[in-house]
Amino acid sequence: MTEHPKIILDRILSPARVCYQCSTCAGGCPVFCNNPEMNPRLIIEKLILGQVEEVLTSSYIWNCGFCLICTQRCPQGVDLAHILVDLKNLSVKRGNTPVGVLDEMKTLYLTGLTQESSKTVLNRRKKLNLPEIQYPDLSEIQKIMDVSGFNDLLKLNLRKEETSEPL
Amino acid sequence: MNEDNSNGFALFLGCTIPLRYPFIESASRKVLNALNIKIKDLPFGCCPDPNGVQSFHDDTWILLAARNLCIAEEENLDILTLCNGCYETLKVANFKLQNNKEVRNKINKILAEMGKEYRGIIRVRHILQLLYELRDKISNMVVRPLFDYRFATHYGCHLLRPFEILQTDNPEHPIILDELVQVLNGTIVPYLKKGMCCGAGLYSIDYNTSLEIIREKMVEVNRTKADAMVVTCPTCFRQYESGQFLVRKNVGEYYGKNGKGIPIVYYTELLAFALNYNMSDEFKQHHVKLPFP
Ligand code: SF4
Ligand code: SF4
Repeated sequence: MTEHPKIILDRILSPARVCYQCSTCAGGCPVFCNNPEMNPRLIIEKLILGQVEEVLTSSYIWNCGFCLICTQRCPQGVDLAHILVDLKNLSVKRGNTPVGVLDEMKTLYLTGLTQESSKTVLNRRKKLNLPEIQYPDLSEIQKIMDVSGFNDLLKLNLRKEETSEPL
Repeated sequence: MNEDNSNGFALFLGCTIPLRYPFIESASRKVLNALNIKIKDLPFGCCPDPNGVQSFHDDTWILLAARNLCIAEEENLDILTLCNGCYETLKVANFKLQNNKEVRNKINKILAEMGKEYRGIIRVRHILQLLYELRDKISNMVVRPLFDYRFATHYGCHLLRPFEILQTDNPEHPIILDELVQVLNGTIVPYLKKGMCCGAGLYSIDYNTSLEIIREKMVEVNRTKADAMVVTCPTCFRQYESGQFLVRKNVGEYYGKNGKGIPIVYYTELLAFALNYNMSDEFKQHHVKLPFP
């Protein structure tokens, strides 16, 4: 199911070209207001100017919290939040996933869920008379992740991490 | 598609509620029971997370979402979510799969290997939408009105955006949660930065900025002297409930009455209380004591 990175880049770039640099996106971005290193307007400007490589290898693209405020407010209809998703997807293919995200992906692969269960919570559930948790069919979920290429990306990114443990 | 949902719903709990905040699940089950809404529990996997998983690999994100949708389709039940993140993922994926044949065919090719097929026959709803439709009924059922209490509401990003697909409420000026609190006779306090994100998407990547984002909101809510803050999402709940103490540790700022913290409550907990359920076991699990007797 994988597209060639060049095709993805074209797909990312063409809808960004209508940006007229008004900065509405940055003005509403909860991250930019607290950490100006992550500037959605500037990311779009760099993409338009062809500085794709710089953006792609930056760590700040990962600082977008995907709140979709920028996408909602852009007067030119630039879907910045999903442009950032596309960029992060490309960054993953280079093995540059931040540890926090990688941990979540590992848990997802190993359990089919993104939270691990703890005895304390399971006891609380009993006290509250809640039904047993219906856990998902893990083999099916893992099969999807093997076929889709998720597992390969996970391994690639874990290998890049010095502390990686083999799955 | 059954428009009136007389068959009930497939209850989609997600990961965070059952495994971290079971009291939200408990309150929600009580409320659904009181309102005679039938629910069925099914072995769903992670929705998956609209931020982390989509950012890591968007093909897998929609595949896993499609698998969950198939599980509900097999029972011919609409999905009812309690979490904004699950709501966005499942509703957006459902929309894409319903409207984009190319994507659907690609996904179905893979799902066929596990004997599944996405058909596009169910809807995805957030519990808040359902409760909003039932607000008149709820209003007549209130036993313990919340006259004496003032609330700050927080909707959360993924309940409202992307608006074009979710269509939950006006994304810049939402009202449904406010009205649902007013139905219980609670008072809504206006505050600055009501539309501000909870910063959860950043928590594991840029911890300090995530705390700054929490802080921005807590400062404003604190100013209102509200008795509690009402949320509709377990992730927003986590950010504010425990996050305000991480902010305290970081910058030494104290919020709430006597600096003991601002109580955060999930809407169905409030509703269950108003409907006269004994909520003491649920409320005991909060860090910050809720103001109710
Ligand atoms: S809001 Fe839209 S048009 Fe304005 S700077 Fe951002 S991307 Fe460009
Ligand atoms: S989606 Fe990302 S870039 Fe856009 S406003 Fe939210 S945090 Fe900022």
